[in-house]
Amino acid sequence: MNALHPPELERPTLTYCLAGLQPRAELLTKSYMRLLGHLTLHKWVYQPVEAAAQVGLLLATPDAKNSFIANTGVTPVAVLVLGGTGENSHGHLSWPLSPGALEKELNLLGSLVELKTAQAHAAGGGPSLANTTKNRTIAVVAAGQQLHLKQWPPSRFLSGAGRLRLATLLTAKHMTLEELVGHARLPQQLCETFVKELLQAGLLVQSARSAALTKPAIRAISDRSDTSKTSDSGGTASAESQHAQWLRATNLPITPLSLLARIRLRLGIGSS
Amino acid sequence: MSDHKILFSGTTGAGKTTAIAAVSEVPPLSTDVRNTDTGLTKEMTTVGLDYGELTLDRGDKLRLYGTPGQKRFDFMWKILSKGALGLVILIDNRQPDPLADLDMYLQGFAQLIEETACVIAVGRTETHPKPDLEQFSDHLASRGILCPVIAADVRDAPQVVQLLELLLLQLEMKTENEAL
Repeated sequence: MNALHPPELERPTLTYCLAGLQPRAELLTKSYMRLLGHLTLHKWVYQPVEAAAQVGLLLATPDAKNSFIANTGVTPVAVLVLGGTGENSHGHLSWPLSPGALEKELNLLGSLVELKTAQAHAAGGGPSLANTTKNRTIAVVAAGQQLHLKQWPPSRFLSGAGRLRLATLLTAKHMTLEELVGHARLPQQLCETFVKELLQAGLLVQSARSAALTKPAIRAISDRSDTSKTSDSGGTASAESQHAQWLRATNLPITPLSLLARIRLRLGIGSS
Repeated sequence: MSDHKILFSGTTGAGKTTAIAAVSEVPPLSTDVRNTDTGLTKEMTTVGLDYGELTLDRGDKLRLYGTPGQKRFDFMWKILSKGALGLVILIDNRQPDPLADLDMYLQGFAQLIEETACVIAVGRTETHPKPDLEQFSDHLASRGILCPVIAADVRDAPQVVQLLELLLLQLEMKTENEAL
């Protein structure tokens, strides 16, 4: 079976802003972004400047690049300059826009944005990205509070990019906003907006961190992984079973030996 | 080598056979026979089970089972549930009472749902919009069940993969809980 790509879930979603473009150029650029959005490695979601607390990619004219930072106080993770003179180069495209060149730049800069965002999350800090994040998190959810869905949200809350994934994550585990962002691999802004909307609708519950979650259920999953082995599975299955038994005896976390990741791989969908 | 399985269950005619065919790497084995149930509009129906499979690395198999939809075969639901990783329930919204249909599977697979993960896919919502997804969600909440419920056309392979992706996401998070 060839890899099948569920468009909603597989590609990381990134945001972009526009600055300094004339209305016609802005419209044209957005159209390109929509059209190329079916081809690029990342899913690009437009974010109005006024809502920009955190910007993945800024597409701006040469003049507007610096004024954007000065006016908004937000430093984009990556910038693609549009217009000006000279040949196309990395980080700069001249008019008229070439779809091929734009796609190439989006893939390069998208990977950069993804990498830097992941680094910022991993470090628990980072450039202006993380500072902004911390302040906004407190505004949306009290620090350390865990979130859990009361019930599956109505469709109107799920139509945006990555929202199915976010809702599903919240059905399965109580988690903080920071944990949600980490698991979803989506821009912080998207996660925050989603959480905020659900909180306002009374669909999310906040609670202090608790260890009493769904341990019995999970034990069952691990057990299932063992009991569903075929009888002729030989040494590997036996070793895995012994491994699980040993983990249980030592009270160390039991994992289904990357089974879920291997299923993902087979289905052609990225890791969670 | 080891075997793992995911179940597809749900209303007769909801597309269990189709869903498995959409992702299986082998032509699905079905036990369809000519339908003699006058309450059903389809010509053929599954009386045993559907089977498809995916080969994982190291030769492990992920087996996809489609259970028979009718309540009279619920003894097979329990047999198939043993050792399953999770469950996808397909609901056909053309049926007279889709919420009652859902109840039947929630009860029949209660233990599996409680212990693993479940995704509910509602089909034919474009022609039969009621009950809508919100009603399904309310219904699930009234039964104390929290899981994704989305509209899906299982003839479209990426949508079937998406259902499996939502199932895997839940399982991954639950596995993490164990590590806490």
